[in-house]
Amino acid sequence: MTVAAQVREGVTITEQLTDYILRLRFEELPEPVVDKTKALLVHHFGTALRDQVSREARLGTQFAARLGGAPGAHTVIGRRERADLLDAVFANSLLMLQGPDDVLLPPGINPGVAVMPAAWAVGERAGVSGRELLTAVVIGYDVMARLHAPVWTWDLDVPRPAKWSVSPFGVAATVARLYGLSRERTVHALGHAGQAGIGIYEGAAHQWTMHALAARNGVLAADLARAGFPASRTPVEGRHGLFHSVFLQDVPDAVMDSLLTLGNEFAIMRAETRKYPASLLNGPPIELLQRLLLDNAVRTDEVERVELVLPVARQAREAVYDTATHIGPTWLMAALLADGHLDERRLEEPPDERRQAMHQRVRLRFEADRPLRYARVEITTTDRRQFAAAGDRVEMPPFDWRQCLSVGTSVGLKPAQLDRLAELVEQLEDVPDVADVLACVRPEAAS
Amino acid sequence: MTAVAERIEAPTISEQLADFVLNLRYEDVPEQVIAHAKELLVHQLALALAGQRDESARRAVQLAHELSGPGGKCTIVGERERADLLDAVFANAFLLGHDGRDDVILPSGVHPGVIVAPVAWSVGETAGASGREMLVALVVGYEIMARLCGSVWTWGAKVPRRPNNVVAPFGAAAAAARLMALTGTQTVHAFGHAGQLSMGTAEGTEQLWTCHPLLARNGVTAAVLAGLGAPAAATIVEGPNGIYRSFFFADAPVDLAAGLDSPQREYAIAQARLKRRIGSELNMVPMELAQHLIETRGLQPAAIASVEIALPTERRTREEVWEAELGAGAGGTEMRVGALRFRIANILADADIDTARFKQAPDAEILDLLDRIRIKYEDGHPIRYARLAVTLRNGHTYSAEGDSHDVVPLDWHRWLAEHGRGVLPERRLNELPELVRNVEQITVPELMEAVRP
Repeated sequence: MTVAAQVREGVTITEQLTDYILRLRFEELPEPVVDKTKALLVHHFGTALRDQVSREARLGTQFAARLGGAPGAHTVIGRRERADLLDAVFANSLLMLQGPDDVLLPPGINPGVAVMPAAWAVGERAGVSGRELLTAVVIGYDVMARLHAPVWTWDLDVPRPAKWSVSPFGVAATVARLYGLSRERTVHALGHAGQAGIGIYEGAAHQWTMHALAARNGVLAADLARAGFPASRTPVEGRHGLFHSVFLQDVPDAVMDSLLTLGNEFAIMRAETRKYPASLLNGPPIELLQRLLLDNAVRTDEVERVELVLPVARQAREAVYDTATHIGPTWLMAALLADGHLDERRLEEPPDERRQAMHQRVRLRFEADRPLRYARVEITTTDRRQFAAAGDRVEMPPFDWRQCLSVGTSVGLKPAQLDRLAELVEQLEDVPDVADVLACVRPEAAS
Repeated sequence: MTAVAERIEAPTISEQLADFVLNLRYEDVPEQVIAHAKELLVHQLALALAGQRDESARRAVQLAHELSGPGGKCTIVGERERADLLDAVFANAFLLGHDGRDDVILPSGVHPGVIVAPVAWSVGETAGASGREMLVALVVGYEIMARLCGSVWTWGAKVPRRPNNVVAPFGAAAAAARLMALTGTQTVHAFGHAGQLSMGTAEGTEQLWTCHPLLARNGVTAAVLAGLGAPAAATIVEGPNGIYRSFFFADAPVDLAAGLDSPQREYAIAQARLKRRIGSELNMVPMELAQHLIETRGLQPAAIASVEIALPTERRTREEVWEAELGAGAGGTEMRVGALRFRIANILADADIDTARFKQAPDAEILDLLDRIRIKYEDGHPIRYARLAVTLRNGHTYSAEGDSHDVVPLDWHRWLAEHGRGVLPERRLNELPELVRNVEQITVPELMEAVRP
């Protein structure tokens, strides 16, 4: 039956997503999808296993300690102490945000830091197989992608972040699958997820906890359904559902069309990891400026002016990020000029005098009819030389699993443990219980 | 140092609210306001005890235990086993609000008690706070929620929603910040996080009772994050992308925090109305009118041809949410408790409120009555106004109208005994009124121990 026919039959979007959540089998996943999912799992483990001295790592651990009673039963990556389910999801999500996570464009959602912490923690709780976890992660990405894809919320009168409104849906989908919820309860899990969306753009500089909080909400949505609490079956398209309440529009046809591709097109294949500690959209201008400086042997102190040109579609976005935070595109240009490279810890701090002075040299303007990722950088040197480059892509280095995971030694994991971790993820579909994988990311497992 | 003094620029609304939250002293609060806060406390503890007999609330308690695991330090009312802070807040909020009799402030329709009280209990217990501090935390929590709602009728906004969806985390964060002794800056940040944790849409009514416990959790989370040093926007209320513009599509009123530092101020908690009957406070007037007509006119269901209920126009969107599910035959207990036509049908059928009706799908008698009840909307009435016109098959029409109903003073002993029976021993229930009356003399852990079997 077609989607349009299903809608006529009274099958809601949530019910269609639910059917996919329950129906998809691991055997139906093409090999590239499985490989990509494993690579992203490793990528996010690698990010979480960094030295863990970041603000994210500190907060995740302190939060669990502040709230918890006795130690919980769930692994916190790179830590000996365990935590309760929701605290583990929160802490692991924050840990995965220590470095570049993955993104789905447009408009830009970050599925990995929401879906993966939930999948590992609930997988550990439920004792699921690696095969089931892989399938559940793919499902989480698909549900998030289907709900957000056609919406560019920056054009709303008051822009709202799509990512934290749709990520509870993706997380709830993953968790519902791992719990093995019935059809009715999976619908309810998504219904609760529709109530669990959070976030506004005020204070965009301080929103680094939001992914973790949204992930926690998604797990709780599934747990409410598991406990038997009913919820709306029209949280997406209902008169007061996600699209009308957050995106201020009817569900676009593109959403309905995208439901037809469930099980054939896997959103996780489009997920991109970020190369720089900045939004994926800011990758091209960063890369262009770096290349211009390098190729033309221009020292940063020789740069008199940088003109950054971005697509007009980004104008409303940068009205928030580039004016209200220090991580917008002009500030990233300034940081590059000031430090010669991007240091993510420095980016968390207010700009020093040098960065502020460099920021004075950067101008931003917008052009119509450019693709969303487009950027052009024009630099003028103090001796009046001019260089320009344009592009919309970032060149990614090949992904090396073992190198990615090697950072785990900084948190006390032994090389043998990290080798074992790589092996287990490589053969994840044959792992009977994902708790075995998580044992490799706990320092005590080394002894 | 006050939150305002910590910044040099003109204070934001959050900073003004934070100053009030941290600087209000017990001695500043008038005696009658404290007395009302205690009355609310008795009302709330009794409802939470009664919740232990509700199947749905029991499931929430079970979920809280599952999420929490062993070793928690916070009491769940009527429960021997304790839970972690957030899970106890969740469970207590669910128990308190299990049948919708939690208190409300009109005309905004904000429900502060089901949010602020569970937070004050659990955070106060964790902090070892005094009963006096808990009372102040309740006062500030109510005040913040009521202030933020102000005169906004959230059902009339471009995107209608319940006021608590937006302001509840702020009330919870305020009470928690006070009891956690956050600094001025941390309290401002707690509000900043609270605004990010506002959530919920008006889609569906089934999840209504899970929404408040989740919002209460969110508010405590906001305060904990701030206490751990995570910063957030100081302009969360009035900023260009703040809660007013994002949720209400309007600028924040310039006088939102005005008068908070005045000794002559009025306190929002004093306006909170205790509900004795299950259901929305807005439905109490039409329900009482229906009962009045039945009693005075001896109306029998079979003799009724039609019932017309006139309500203020402002209620239209709100009622449409309930009606959508009632009309579709969808929805569960929450819908049946909240939908006005169902409640009137219930009264016409039984001459009173039979709560058993809420648990089951409408039977043929109720469906038949629902077909005969219509709602219409009229301009120019206060929000609680209702007019009922009952037309009989013989052509006679009886009508009644009103915009208020009497609230009988609460008999603390009776209310606690009635609701706590079977959950706490009788002796303990008999001691509770005195304990609350002198709550300034005890600590919150002592109070919570008194409601733990």
